[in-house]
Amino acid sequence: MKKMKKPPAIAQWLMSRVIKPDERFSVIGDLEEEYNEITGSQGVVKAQYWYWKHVLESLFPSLINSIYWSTDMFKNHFKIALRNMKRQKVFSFINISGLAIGMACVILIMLWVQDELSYDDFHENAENIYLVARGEGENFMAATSQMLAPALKSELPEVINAACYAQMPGNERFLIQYDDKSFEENACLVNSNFFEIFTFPFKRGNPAVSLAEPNSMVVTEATAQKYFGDEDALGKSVGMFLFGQKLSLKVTGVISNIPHNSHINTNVFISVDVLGVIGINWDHWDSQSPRTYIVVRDNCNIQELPQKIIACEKRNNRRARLSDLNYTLLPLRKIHLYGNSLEFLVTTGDIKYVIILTVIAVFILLIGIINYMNLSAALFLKRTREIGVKKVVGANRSVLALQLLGETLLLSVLALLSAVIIVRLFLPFFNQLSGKSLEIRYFETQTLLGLCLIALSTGLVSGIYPALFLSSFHPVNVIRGILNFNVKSENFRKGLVLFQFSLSIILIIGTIVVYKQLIFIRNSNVGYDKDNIVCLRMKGDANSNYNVLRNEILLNPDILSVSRSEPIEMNKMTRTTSIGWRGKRVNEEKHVWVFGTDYDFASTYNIHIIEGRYFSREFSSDKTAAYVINEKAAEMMGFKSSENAQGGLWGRRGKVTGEELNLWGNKGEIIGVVKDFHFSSFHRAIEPLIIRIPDERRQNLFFRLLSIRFKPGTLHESLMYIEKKWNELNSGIPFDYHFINEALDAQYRADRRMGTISRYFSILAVFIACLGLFGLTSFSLEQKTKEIGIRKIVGASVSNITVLLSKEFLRWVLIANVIAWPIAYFAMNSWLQSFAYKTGLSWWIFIVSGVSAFIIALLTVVFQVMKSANTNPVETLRYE
Amino acid sequence: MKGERSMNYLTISEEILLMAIWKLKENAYGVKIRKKVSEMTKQNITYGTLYSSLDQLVRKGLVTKFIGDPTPERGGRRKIFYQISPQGIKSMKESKKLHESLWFGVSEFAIE
Repeated sequence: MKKMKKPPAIAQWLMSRVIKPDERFSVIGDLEEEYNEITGSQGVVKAQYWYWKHVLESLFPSLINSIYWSTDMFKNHFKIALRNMKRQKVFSFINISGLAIGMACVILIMLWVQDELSYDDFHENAENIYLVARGEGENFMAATSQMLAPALKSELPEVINAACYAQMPGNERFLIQYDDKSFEENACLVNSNFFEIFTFPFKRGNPAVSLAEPNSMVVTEATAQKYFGDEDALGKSVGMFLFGQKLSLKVTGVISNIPHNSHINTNVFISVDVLGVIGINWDHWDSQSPRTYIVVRDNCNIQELPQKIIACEKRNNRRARLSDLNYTLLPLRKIHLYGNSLEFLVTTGDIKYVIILTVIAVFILLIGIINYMNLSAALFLKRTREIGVKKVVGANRSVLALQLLGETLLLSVLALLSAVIIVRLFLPFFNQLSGKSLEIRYFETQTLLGLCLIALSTGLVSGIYPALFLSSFHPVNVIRGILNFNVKSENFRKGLVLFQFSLSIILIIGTIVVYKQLIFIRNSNVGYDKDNIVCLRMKGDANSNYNVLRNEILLNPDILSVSRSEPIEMNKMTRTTSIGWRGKRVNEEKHVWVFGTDYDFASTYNIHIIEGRYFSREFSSDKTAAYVINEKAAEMMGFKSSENAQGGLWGRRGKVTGEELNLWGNKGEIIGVVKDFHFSSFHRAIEPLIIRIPDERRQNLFFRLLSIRFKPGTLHESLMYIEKKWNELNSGIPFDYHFINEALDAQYRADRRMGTISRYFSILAVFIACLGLFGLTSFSLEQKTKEIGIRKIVGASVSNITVLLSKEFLRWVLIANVIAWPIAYFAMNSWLQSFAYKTGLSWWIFIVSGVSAFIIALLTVVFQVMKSANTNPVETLRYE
Repeated sequence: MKGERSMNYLTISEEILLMAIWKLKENAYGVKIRKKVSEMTKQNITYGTLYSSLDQLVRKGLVTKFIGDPTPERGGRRKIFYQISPQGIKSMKESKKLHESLWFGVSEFAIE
């Protein structure tokens, strides 16, 4: 017997949906029988066509039927919903505005999160690009050897391409001159194959050969425009200062501007071979400055790759210390959010803040939703008669629940529209807060889908409780007006208020803690005297006539001291393990930071010297064979400083000074110990530091900071004087200055930004919660007008009634503290853990937050209660 | 009461269906009925329409249905067979009488 053909499954399923269950088998069977018959006589294609046609023809009338009737009902529901909204103007307003503000917050934050997550997405092989970071766990850094990239590319089959990318330490800028224009540029040094890896489209020039010559550079369109205007940039020569030397570079390519969501945000790309031209040699494994990016083959096993990279380095670098050698691969798309923990990589993003903001957005929306749940459950109670009548004429529970849910959806769509307007109005403000330039593109599928999803999920979540609660009433009771609200549902709604205020209190506590920490940072001692110092950046070849400048400046009696040094920022310093001291164990691997200054640094910054002395011009050996260390370094090396010399004394004669230190093979004596001062943000603990005076050449290369201490109160005059002298001596190099506080504040920009954003959002959260409380109180008071009237008649005073009625609501706000405090404690404690130096979570923060939430709630409730308590009982009771 | 009874005639579509079932005798189930009806009326009807009309007949007691055995060409599904009830037979007879009396003395050409 020939095998029976199966009819199209989808059509069969469709058909079976619309037929009554007790006939389904028969109809499907009939169809299948006839289908087989047609297959036999006219072939499968015809049969399938027939089957589909038949199914659709059967479905069509019933479909039309159901649409016709449901649109009719829909019209009715819609009308009822609108009428109810109109009747309850205040409550509807509270509902919609609460939801709208919540949604607007979610939209804004989602825009921000989406932007954060979109970093580096635009590169064609973004999936396969990785950053090779040295080390693992806590201690990893982006700086690798320049030798790594070529070695990986040629030796590992998994690695298709590899290039290095170097910025000046800490994104120090380069001065570029063309004709009479000179600007400081964010420049970097890259391999010639850099543009094969990253997708930065070329407007002019040939990407393949653009960086082949050592003195060639590629610039962005905007940069080209800045220097050359409308002229063709290609082939133009510009002057650039690199490590204090002036070079002539040729523009060989113009790329389109770098998108804002790229972690590589330099405007000028110079061939790394230029280092050879100025005589700097990075071509060995021990010198670790540039980052290494690799492109791996599709489906390559990333887990095993670090081991292979280690093996590759071992083959090439005989001096590699095996214990120390470790690599981690960071996917390109994660660099922006996870790269912050990498030393020598500065990103503006942080996954922590993405999470915090998302949580805040959800909180606010949740508060809005709870408002809605509470208020609409209360409002629907006024419509019990409608529900009862509908039930009596045959509406079952699911129909009613759907109707009520539909009303919620309608409201949430209205809220969404308002939210979109709010977003439109506040986007510029939010951009200013968040430091981004976000925009919302309404007509993209993604945006539309996202918006619909927000409206739908909000509508469903907030509508489900009122819908189920109300549709459950028994029709007879409802019509007779007997509503036995059980205590459970009452408590549920009060529980919602509790939850709302808990969230608000958590947000308030969070905001206070963030501010307290920021104030703590600002007021705490960085370890040096940061007031009355103005800093200049030694750009271009300014270092070459430093001595003249210094003498000229010091002629002014208002100026107390001038010092030149490397920038006092950890990410602009050098870190090394190549250091020896007496008593160092053989395999001990310890990191120290190396900082170069001149003789006047300690006196300019008023750095406290605990033991010994600072560098002095009187000792000729200070220039070459002397080191000053900080307390942490003394501790690390096992030397105790003289102040706390009891026990574990290592230093000769109980002192640290006089000990010998071997840094990069240069032996020298420790001549002093300085009190620890901060050279990184408070996120990090102070680490061991060695201060030295570098040789003349390094001074010219790395002394980028000129610090001038002036007499208090002479800022204006001193600045004028310094500027005059600067312009006399360094013509063509822009004069720009900053104060230490500004530089310090910049380290906490992200934290401050979060502080501001969370402050605004907390205010919103509290506001929405209060809206809800307001609505609930006024509703409840409306129900109780008679009770109030009777109480007054039998002798209750206004204050009695006020206390009685307020108590009910305010009790829950107080209880909210009990829930909020532990959660806020743990959350803020973990945030503070990211700071090495932190303020405590004092008890008063919790009290203040609790009390302020209480007071706000009190103000919301009490005025309304007093108003009702003051009404003349005659008004409320005369209809009885 | 009498007037109500006099309105209790079959509709044309009921009549067509009953006629199809009657002609098919023991073999009156979905596929065959549909074909018979299509053949008689020269119109294609869908199973959706067919089954709802048949249901109506069952509800009016003109037709009874019973479930048959599964067969392989229907994917192993059972058939529902239909049979005209005594009341159905009675209605058909009345209907025939009505038609005959209605058309008595009217020739096909006279209508024009």
